[in-house]
Amino acid sequence: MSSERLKGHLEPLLLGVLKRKPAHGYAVIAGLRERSGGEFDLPEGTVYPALHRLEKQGLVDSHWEVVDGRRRRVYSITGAGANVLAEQRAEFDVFAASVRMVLS
Amino acid sequence: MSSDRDPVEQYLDRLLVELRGRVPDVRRILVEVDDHLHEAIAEGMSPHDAIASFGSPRAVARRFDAVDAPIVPDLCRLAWKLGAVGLIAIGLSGVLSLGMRAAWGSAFVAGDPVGVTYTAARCADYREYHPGASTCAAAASAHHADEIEEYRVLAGILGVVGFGLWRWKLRRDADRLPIELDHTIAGVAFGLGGLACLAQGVSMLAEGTQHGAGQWLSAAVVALAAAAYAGTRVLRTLRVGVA
Repeated sequence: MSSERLKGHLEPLLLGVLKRKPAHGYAVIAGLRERSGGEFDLPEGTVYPALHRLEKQGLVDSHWEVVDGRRRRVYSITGAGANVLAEQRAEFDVFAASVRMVLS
Repeated sequence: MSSDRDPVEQYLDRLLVELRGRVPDVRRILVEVDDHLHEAIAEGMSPHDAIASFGSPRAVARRFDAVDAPIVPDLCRLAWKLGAVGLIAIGLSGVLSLGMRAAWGSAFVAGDPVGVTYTAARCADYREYHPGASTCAAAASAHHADEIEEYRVLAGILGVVGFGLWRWKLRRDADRLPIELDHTIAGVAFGLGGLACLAQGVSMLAEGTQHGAGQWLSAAVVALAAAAYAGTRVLRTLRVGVA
């Protein structure tokens, strides 16, 4: 699926991945790919800016960890992020159901 | 400098050149990208593939730029694009007016309403432009039709230039506006405008074919065609998005 198609949906998808557990960028991308059955195989450079944007919005938090001598930024969802994710999931359910009804 | 440097180092150097913003943010981005690429390589990807799937330094940097960028420039770029498309549509309606004039005469495109009279001076003005016209009304219609066609075609040329500028300098792949916002706005605007023009044209047509209905009908045809195109794009995106 093209990244253009995911426009507007990437942030909630990232929140969805982080809702399961905190993760660094590489693991977030891998989680997105695995949980979508390989459909969401994005240019990886699109994910980090989105994570930074979510952090500026207060929806995720991040901190440094050192793994195998290498610094790694680990992201976790905040309470506000969890609330936004729940709202967006509910909105998307209604939207998807409505579109299916119209198209079917 | 050696050309066999670590490709990841080369990539990070190019990214550093492209990145803008505060130094701590730039350093953080470089550390994260460095970690990402090395992890991808450790997982078995070749350095070339790892870099390719991350994206070009310029594209990545522009996406990071957008994190802090205000949304107003995106809206301005959208307004520019839609304005240019609107002008192109006006230009096309001018071309269509030309065709209507050729088929049904000047009065169909720009005839004055019944009962309009012309002063001698005004009549002389019109006849100066169209000395071959048989009546003042015919000269006036031909003059009005000239203006409609010329101004609309000029608007169209301006629109083509504006659209070219947008394509060349203003288009951004990483803006933050919702997908298909441009086609949604265009579809609604062209649809409403087209219906209004159609209503006006049909109403004038009811008075007869010599009272300028064509100027409205030409606009209606182009606007409704543009609305149909924009609507199709939106529906196609919705359909693919849920397939």
